[in-house]
Amino acid sequence: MITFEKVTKIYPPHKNKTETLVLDEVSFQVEKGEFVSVVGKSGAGKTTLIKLITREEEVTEGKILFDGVDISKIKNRHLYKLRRRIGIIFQDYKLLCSKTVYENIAYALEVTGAPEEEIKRDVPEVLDIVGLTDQSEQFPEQLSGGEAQRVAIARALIHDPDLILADEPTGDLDPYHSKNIVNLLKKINKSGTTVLLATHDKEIVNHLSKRVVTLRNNKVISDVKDGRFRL
Amino acid sequence: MLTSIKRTWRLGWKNFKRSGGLSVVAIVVLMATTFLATSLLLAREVSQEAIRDVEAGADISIYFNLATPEEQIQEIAEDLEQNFDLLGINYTSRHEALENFRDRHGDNEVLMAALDEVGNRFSATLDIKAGEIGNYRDISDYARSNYSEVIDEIDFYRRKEAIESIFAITSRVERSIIVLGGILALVSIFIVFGTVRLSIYSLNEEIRIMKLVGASNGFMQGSFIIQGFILGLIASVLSLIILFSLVILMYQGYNVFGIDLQSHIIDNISFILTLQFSTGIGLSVISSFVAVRKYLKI
Repeated sequence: MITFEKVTKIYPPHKNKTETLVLDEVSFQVEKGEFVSVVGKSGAGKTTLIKLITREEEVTEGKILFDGVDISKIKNRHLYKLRRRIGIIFQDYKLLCSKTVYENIAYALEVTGAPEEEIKRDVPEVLDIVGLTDQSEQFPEQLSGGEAQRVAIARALIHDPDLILADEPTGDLDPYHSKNIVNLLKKINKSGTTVLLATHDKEIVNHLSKRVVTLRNNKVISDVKDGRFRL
Repeated sequence: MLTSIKRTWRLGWKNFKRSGGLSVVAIVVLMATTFLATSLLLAREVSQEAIRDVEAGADISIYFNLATPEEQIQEIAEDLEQNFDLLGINYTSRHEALENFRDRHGDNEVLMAALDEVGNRFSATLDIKAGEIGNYRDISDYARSNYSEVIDEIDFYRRKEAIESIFAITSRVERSIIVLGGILALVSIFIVFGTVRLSIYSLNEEIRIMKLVGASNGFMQGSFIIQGFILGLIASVLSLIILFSLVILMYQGYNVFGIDLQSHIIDNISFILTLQFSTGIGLSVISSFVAVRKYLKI
């Protein structure tokens, strides 16, 4: 489904500093339906790797194929088509504070031009999947961290994406809620959605017992099926 | 499609409201610019109308000495007709001049009594209409040099001065409006640009979410361009209200240079509306478009 071919990412010099190499000839492949954890210390390039897949950042060298299509070749005006196939979850949830749980999820459909009937039908469904039906009228600040992250997951799921990118989704959560979120991601993966999880949470990775790609010094140093967290 | 357009408008309106004070500043400057654009048009119209009026009524009036015989005046008229391209020449005898005066002031007993006392002191006149203002001087010079012994007075200088002063005043007013309008147009472009840029910065997170959940470029860009459209629309409407109010207040019962500006506005309402809205909305939309292209990263 996703293929990284010798992907290098260098950030240009900023404020008189030198340029920064973040990913150095990274190559790996994710098959459809897989659950892959990308692990590495902070600054290892996990977030950049996710931003490259969504084309928030451009690769410096190499290429990324999404279902065989080189994503750097997708024209800007067509990028939304790629992004509608991907659901993204962030460490800090990125929910809109002025909107309720329901509205935050509906918003993802509204901006894509989905009709009202579809919104009314789909939002309660995903709220049910993430177990937040009763909290649908609450605002983000009234939710616990685990609940807020489940709203973010619901928003990522609303387009029925082929791929879920989770960038440190448990970073701000306690172990109990972290496990809940990971279990939810496993459940989503079981339904056929590919999941790429970027994390440095050892417990989570070991609990998952899924494929682990390890980044160190900007390179992939290991890629192990049923792997464990090793840095 | 209709749903998307509706949502883009809703978001544009929200962006507009969020910009608060900056939106107000942008509207005020845009308003001044559109107001000046229409003022320029109206000032030009006033001056042209005034000049047309002066020109249409303008003729050289040659007043003859009281003793000049009618035959000689007719000969002079024929001579002028042969030598100049005239629109018309009209002879008024001393008797007709007296009758005209009586017609106009017959009910003024004091005047009539004075007139009876002094007798007919009115000169016979030739009223000449020349095609162009520039010809007046030539006609006047010709008449003076050839018939000075029978001419009492030639009246055209006052009209010429009036026309020239109208030209001078209006061209000065026009120049000032153009310069001021140009400056204000630039200022309004910068302010709308700044307003939209700030909106883009302040909505950074929301834009990122929109982007990542797959909002189309048209939706994201459209909302900011609509924000610019709303700024321009409000500015144009307010400017129009101010313009109409001013015209109504200023022209209540009066005509400037004999021009009924209210009727002129009513007659040209579609052109004035087009000018107002195209200036206000045009400047604002172009400015927001540039800001969106520059600062909204897709």
